[in-house]
Amino acid sequence: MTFKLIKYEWKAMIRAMLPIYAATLALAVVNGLAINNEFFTRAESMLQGTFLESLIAIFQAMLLVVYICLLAGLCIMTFIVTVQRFYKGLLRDEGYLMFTLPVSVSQLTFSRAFVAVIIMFLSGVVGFFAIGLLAGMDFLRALIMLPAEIASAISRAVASGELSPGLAVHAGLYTIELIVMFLLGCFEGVYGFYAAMALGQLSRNHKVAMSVVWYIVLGIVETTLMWSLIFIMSGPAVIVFSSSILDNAIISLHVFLIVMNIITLLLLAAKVLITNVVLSRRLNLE
Amino acid sequence: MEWKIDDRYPIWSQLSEQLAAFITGGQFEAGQRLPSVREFAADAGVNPNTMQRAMAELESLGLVVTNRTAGRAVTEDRDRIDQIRRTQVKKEVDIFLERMEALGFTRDEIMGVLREAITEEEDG
Amino acid sequence: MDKEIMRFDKVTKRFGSKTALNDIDISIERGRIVGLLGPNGSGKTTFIKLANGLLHPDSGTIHIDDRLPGPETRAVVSYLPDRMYFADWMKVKDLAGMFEDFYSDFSRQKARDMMDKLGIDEKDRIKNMSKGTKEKLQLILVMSREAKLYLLDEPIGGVDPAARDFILKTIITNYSPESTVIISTHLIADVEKVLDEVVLLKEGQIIRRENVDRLREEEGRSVDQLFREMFAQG
Repeated sequence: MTFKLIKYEWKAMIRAMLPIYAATLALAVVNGLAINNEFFTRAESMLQGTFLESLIAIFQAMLLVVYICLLAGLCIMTFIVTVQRFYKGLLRDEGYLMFTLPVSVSQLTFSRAFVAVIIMFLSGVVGFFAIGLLAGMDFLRALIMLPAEIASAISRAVASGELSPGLAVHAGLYTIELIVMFLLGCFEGVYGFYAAMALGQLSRNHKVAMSVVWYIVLGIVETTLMWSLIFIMSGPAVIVFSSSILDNAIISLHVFLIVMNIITLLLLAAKVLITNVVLSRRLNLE
Repeated sequence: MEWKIDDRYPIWSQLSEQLAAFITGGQFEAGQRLPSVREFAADAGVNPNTMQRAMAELESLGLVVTNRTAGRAVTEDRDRIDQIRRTQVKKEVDIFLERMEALGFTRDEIMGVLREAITEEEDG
Repeated sequence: MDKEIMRFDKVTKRFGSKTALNDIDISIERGRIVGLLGPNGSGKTTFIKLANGLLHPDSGTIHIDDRLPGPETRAVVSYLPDRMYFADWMKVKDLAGMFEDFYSDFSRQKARDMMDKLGIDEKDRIKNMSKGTKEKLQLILVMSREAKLYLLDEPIGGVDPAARDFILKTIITNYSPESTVIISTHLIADVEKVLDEVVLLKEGQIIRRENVDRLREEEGRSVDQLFREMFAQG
């Protein structure tokens, strides 16, 4: 059932995002060509001083402005679609369909969060390409070379003895820890919006405004908790980090990353709990 | 089919009366297979349970028989249909006579009025 | 199989300071068409939303098919809300596909047959349909399920007589004999003929429950007359 929910959510979300993805990438290619193309450069030098030259310059500037707007739009759209698919798709009229399907509330919210995280990732990828393509075809060439470059760099490092097998293991672990941190952070962010909207829909008349208020309230609570935690933990942390077991910088970094992951996990759990409990016990569809 | 349902009487009894009239009036012939209860109910816009009850009434009257394989059908017993037809007519005539008498008509006057009405209809 | 499809035990639901349903006790059998009648604001919609799990009671318990409301009961309950629940982007086939995916008791063929009669194509975009067609489409999907309990919230509110006939006929033709249909409405005269029994709600309480035939046989009145008497002052 969760998979089916994800399928429908994916259809709805990608439908909203596809136009901006396509527009961003298309404009990046056009800009890349306009900036790097020999034809344009030559044309410009030939037309130097004429009216046409300034026209081309204006045209190029405009393309750039639109392109920057689209990049900003990409970020904003990702945010809007994430929030809107939850608010409109669950808390308004469509909620009458979704909440009467034979699925649990946690399946409903998770499927949406899952697709939202994928969309965030996709937007990131599109943004990366959009910026890269500005450099023209050289970017794509470099991108294709990249895996081979990395592999050869690693083998050179191993051969020269700079990268010991032990260090490689640690590097691998760091990568895993960072990926986990990234994923948890994404979900935590998405569920932060969800929890605020779940609490906001409890209000009879000002659901949207109250969702914003709740988002701020949750933010304040979270920051307060974090600082209290840091304050409480700083004593023991100093002792642990200064003890002989952890005087190794490599190990310390692991401990730091894992502790951060645990904290994010706890925050995520709290937000998931708020969202699911409020929506299953106090759903307030208009 | 034309169904008429008013507010006063139980719906099932109104339905069974009208179904009986469909049969004696020849809309459904002796031995003809009948639509299902559900189809009748949808046509009349009534609850299938109510239509079921009306059908049961027709069965107890002997107008309708249930065949295990073929479903419900009008009885083959033409005498029974004729008998019911007579009771229906008798009932209508009794009501008519009662009303005419209440209006002060004598039997002879009623006969006269009836004869006149029938010739008029035949001529017209 | 248990005889009752639905049971409310001392169910109370409040919205803020307003009590929408107060201490409701009711048991409804399988194989019935029940009218849930009452003026606007009497608690009809709240009753239905509690039964399908959209709302959670403040106190008391609800059983549907011997279970508490949840994903399992929603699998056997077919619900028609008093509003449109389509997403803007959907075509008929998206919504029908969704019903097919999530409800194992949904018959795509049955839905298609009914849509054909109305000239609805699966490729049609729902957003472009008239309000009346949207309402009929929603009813078709809901009635194409072989559910144990149908909850229809105001299915004939604000439609013309032809649409009303279509709706009532669709309901009569498609519910299975072992299942129960609950129809909430404030237009009694129109639905009276299809009901086995009626439950009258007033200010969040059940003030009367009647068998339609019994009422006519023993008291010589229709539900419509009874309703007018009960709510005369309102």
